[in-house]
Amino acid sequence: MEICKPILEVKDLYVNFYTYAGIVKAIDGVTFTVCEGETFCLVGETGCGKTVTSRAITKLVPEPGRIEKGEIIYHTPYGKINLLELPEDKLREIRGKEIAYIFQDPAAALDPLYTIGYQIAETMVEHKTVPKWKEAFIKAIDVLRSVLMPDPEKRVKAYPHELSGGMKQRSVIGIGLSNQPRIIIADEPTSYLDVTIQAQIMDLLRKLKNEKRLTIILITHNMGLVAEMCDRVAVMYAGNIVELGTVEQVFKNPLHPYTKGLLRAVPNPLTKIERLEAIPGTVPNLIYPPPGCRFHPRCSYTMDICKREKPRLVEIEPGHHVACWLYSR
Amino acid sequence: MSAEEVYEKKLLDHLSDFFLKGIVKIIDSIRPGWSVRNKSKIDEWRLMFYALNRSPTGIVGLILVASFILIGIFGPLVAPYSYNDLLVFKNTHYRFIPPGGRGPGGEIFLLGTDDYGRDMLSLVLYGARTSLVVALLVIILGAPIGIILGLISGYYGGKIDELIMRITDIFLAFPGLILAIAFAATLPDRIRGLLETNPWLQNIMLSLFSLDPADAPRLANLLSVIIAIIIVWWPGYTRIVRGSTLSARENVYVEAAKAMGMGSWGIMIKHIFPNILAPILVILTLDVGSVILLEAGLSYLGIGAQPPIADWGRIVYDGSRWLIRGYWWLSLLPGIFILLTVLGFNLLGDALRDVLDPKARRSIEFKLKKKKR
Repeated sequence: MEICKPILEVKDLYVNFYTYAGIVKAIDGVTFTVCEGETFCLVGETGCGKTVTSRAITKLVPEPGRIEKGEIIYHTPYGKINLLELPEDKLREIRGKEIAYIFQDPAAALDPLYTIGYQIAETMVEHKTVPKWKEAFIKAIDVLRSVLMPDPEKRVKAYPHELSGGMKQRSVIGIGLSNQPRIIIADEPTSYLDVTIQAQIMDLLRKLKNEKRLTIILITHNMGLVAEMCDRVAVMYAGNIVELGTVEQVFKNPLHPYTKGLLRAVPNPLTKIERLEAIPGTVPNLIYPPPGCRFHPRCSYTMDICKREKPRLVEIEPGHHVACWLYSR
Repeated sequence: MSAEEVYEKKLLDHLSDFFLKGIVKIIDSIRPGWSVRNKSKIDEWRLMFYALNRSPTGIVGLILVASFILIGIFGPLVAPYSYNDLLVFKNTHYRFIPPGGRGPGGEIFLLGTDDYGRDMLSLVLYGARTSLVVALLVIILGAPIGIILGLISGYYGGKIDELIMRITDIFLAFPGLILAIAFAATLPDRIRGLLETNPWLQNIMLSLFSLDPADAPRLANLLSVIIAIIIVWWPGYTRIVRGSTLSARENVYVEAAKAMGMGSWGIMIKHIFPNILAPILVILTLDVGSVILLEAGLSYLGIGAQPPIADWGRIVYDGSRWLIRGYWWLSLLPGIFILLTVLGFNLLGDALRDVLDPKARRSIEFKLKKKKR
């Protein structure tokens, strides 16, 4: 394994949502480090806090959410900054220029009233990477070419409704890449696309990552995608990271009962099985999360301590962390 | 030109196509290549016209509004007499000539004359200018206030929203007409002072309303009515814009704009406002009628334009004294003009609501396509 040069550190992050029904403790002490140039994956089922974690990185948690505690350390070439303590205008300079997002639904992430060329140019002009609109429009063609958009000279003048789903996602990636950010946060970038386009988009991301030395934070619930794309993976459950390690470690030797269940629920083309195993129970209500380990009501190895105390993330082998009482005593 | 192949066209559609082609040609001659670059936009406009052409009331409204605007612009230029030509001082026989009647000199008065021997046609033409300018000023000055406050209120939410909306509620709680009367009655002195210290403003206003410089002192009352209407009128906009903003800001592209580092103002102006423009345009069109009616109402009550300034509401009021003596045209004719103008804006607004709502328009287009098969 290469020596990790951290680019982003999330330390002890807590996010609560203040709803009418009560306080939803959506993120409960998440800690992880992303190394420069790697693809870091956040996996977990719907509602486990993957998206909220990614939004919290640049303080974009939607109302009524609030970041309660924690640090997000961003390593610039000139030093470290805590993004959560940065004033809004400084943060805006980082959003889209240093840390860019790719959204889940490309059809919704593009404003229907502007051409994609305009929207790419807007990002560049906003951050003053290109001073003039005219130049920005010309550069937008290059950006579209770099995301392998067919016929970029023509497409740059197209409105979102004139493009197919794959082309829209390429444009969204183009907007994200236009300022040559250091980190790209891709939030389920392929879940709205069909499988062939998924493969194309993933190939594109991998190619861009290698060419531009991007760091990608990929958020997904697709285990196949994780195995294919990622260097390191963090498995999230109900607002906690339950297991963190390299892809080989997590896939070949899953430690946490939840990860094991998750991997058993993915069909394996090499073995013939009658039916897929499901994890019993449902995701807990995060207004009243279960005490101790949040997974204990669904776990088949529950011990007494699991109901009382929350396990900490401990390193079992180099780089492989797990938060489970089975391993830490 | 796929649109031409699919749609069954009527005379009006050919007319609107012709009209649109003319406009495109003009723009093209100023900025070469514009039509090629904006082909999808032009197609969209054409479809919008087709949809409007299917609505007979909308067409009637459009014709009424267009003629009102034309009369408002060119009326004072083509009027046979000035609004302050009191022919009665030349010859008392100029009084109360019925519509189509002849004066002592043999000249025809198409709409008759009033008690001062003023030509009714000229009065109506000048009155159209007054109404048009009042409506435009109210919209240009008033709508942005309401729209900006609504955008702020809807976008930021929380305490700012609460504050703006409660102020809006205070204004909405008063009956509009009474509040306008209160403002219109108290403002003129201050405005008069302002006009006296700023002659350029006075000159602009005089030429806007197409008034005689001698009537400059009467300008203050007219302007105070405009300001009074603006004051009672913006809260409606704030409400509507806030509501639309609340739903528009939930769009993913707004979040995407935030994530790419855009500021709040940029997002509001570039990504929220254009997306909620359609309902605002409809309300604006409908409200031009209401503004004209409110202004006429205030003038009728004697608060707005002072004689001899030609104002439809004022003419109706002045003529109403003579109604009982059988001189019906004095107040009825300007009354009909008020009615037609307001009706026109209402019909057009209703039609625009269907045309600008993509869902309603698609259904109209769908019907059009079906007929062909």
